[in-house]
Amino acid sequence: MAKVILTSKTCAMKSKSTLSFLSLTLFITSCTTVYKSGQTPDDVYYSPARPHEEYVRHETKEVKENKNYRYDDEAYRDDRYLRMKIQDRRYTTLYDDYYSYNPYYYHYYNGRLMYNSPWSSYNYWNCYYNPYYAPVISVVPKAPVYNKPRAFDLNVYNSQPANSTNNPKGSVRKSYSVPDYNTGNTNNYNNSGRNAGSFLRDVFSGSGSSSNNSGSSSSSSTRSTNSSSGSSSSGSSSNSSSRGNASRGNN
Amino acid sequence: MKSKKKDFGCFIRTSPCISLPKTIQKSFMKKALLTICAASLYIASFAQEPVDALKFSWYTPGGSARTKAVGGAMGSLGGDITANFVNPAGLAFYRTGDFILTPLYQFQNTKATYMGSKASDKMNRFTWGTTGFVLGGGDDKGKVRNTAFSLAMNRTADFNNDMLYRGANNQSSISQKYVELFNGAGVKDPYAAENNYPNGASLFYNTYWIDSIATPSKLIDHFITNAPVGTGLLQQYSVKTRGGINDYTLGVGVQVQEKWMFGGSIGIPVLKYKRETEFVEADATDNPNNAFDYGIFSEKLETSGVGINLKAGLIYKPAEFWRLGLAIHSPTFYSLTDRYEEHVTLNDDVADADSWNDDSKNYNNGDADEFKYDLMTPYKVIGSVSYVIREIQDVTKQRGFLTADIEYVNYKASSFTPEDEANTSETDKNYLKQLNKVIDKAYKGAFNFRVGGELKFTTVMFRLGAAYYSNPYKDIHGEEGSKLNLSGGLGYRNKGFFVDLTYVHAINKDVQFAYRLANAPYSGATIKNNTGNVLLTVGFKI
Repeated sequence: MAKVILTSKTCAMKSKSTLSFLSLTLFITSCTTVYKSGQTPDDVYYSPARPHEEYVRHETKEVKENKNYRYDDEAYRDDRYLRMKIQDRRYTTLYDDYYSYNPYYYHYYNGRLMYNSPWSSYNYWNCYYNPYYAPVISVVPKAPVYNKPRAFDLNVYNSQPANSTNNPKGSVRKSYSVPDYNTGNTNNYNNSGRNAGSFLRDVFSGSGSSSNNSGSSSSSSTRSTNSSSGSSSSGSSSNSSSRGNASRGNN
Repeated sequence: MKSKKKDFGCFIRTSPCISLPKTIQKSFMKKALLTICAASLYIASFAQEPVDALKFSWYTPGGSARTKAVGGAMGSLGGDITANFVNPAGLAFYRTGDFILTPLYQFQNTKATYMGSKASDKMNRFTWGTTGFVLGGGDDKGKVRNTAFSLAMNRTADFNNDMLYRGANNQSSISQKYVELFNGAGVKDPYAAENNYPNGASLFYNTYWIDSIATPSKLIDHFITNAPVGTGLLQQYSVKTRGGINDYTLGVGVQVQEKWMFGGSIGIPVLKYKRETEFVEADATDNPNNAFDYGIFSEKLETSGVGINLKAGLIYKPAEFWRLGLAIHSPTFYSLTDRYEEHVTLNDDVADADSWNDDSKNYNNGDADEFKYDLMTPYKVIGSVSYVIREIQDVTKQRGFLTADIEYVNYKASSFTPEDEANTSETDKNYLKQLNKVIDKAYKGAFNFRVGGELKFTTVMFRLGAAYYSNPYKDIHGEEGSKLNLSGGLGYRNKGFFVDLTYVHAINKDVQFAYRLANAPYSGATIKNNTGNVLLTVGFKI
């Protein structure tokens, strides 16, 4: 469940960032008008200085036009407001400044007169100071963790093992005829319905079971016959108790 | 889950419990305590792998489609947002402004050869490349002719990869790594063996992948592997890595008298790295009596953190058409956190019984382990030269350019330090010092080369390039690696916007060791990774 929520949150974040990118792109595109005619400079080679004067002149004109537009727009809204007051007598009692930045700005909601007071009856409680309105802060206790580095034996960089191949390309004895694999993303024991041992033996089929060389290992398992040279293994898992926190199971 | 046993009077707990006389118990208690102390010291002497240092410093940096098409050779060229990440002096060529976006699509094929066996794995993905803006301008008067400022993000490194290889091995088992660890540490106490090495050796011991040999007096003499190495093992190693380094950079460039360009940038790289590995080892025979069918060792690691670095450079124009560049990248100082966990499963061929399982989280209140540390990556020095025909504002007379970089990276200069010196034990500090010495032994300084060129026909451009990142390894066990990028691309620039399309074919060669041993033969896998990258940069003049 948590995973699903996380995924949907991630999707929402991604779509938000994509929207931001698109908005920014549109904004930037609108800024390129100055280069839409004529050559497009290439700064790798050499580009002319930015056309400041044209820019200034262009801007000045635009600002001027904008100012006129804003003036016109304001005048237009005033005019509309006056007309509205005349047409509907209810508005004559209203506070003149109806812009939303006024916290006591009145407005109609579902036919009811309301204003932006934090004590609005619509909100029933003062949401700014209501003690029951406080956001819920859940404190998740942090589990203790080991603050220690990961384990690695640095000695392997100091000494070379006996009979080391010294070559990752593998000049070791090839006791098996090994086929090549295209593993893809699915060719693994997880998808085979078999356990890892059976799966690997099947992959190397026909060669693995026939191998019976002496090998070079000096540490062949003595667990099931653990009495050689007076030593004995500490136990065999077939009849042993559990060690540490290990257990038999399918996890 | 069975409860942890702490009965020291019962010495060898894996067999039916043997009660020892009190004098022996006392003697044992002393030895056990000494062993625990020795073991804890030894635990501290095992930590971050040297290869951790390399993976965050040996990569092919990203860039805009235009610069990637010319091999990333941007050290002296300038005029592209990628200058932020190579030589910020190149920003000083900007007299206009750019805003760019670079989506990127990757398709990878990784082939691995291990013990004579070959395997391959594939992965495709989409990501974002270089994105940001540059604002430049000047008045051609006075000494300072031009200044530019930029804010950009670059995909500096990409860790996304899937890899799997298999091989038949009759020389060693991964479990011998932990046998060596126990024997080297002189671990004699079963409690220490079971509990003090929860990120590897204890899990192998508790699941009977490795076992102990007792002396006639019933003390642990040494450890052995239960994996039947002599009759052969079938091994499989899969590695899935995700994440990357996104470098957020603020850069400034200044042009002085049209001859000298100076620049600097400050980068905030955000690093995310996730790795999931699984090592499977199976009995090559069908022998049901050797108490080993298969074992699985899986690890999860998440590294995350933020760093800081500085880049400074200059470009000099000695004559018309020619540009010479020099840039220095400071080391990146990362503050990183590792979160990691391990799990072992072992099937011991016992009929009607489930496999043994143990997990590192069992020893840490069910949580992953964590370690905070600082990493300093190597510095870089880049020298470069470009020949540009022609440096003229009329685009119809701009014909193209040739550019080349040579870069020196001292890969052995990486170093780890604890994040919190005051609360870090002396043994951990000493370990990290040892690790830094091993990094010196394992890696070396290397030269990287980038070269490329562009042909320009007013609004249409054709590009070719290549980059070669040479071997950062010292040959300890046959390590060798290189990265070769071959690239080509097209560009179109008109009416205030530009589009660049590039294909980069990366041929990466590397080695990969699932485990290393000090006292037995072991082999690594050779990795050949072929990655196709399609980059599309869309830009607008601002």
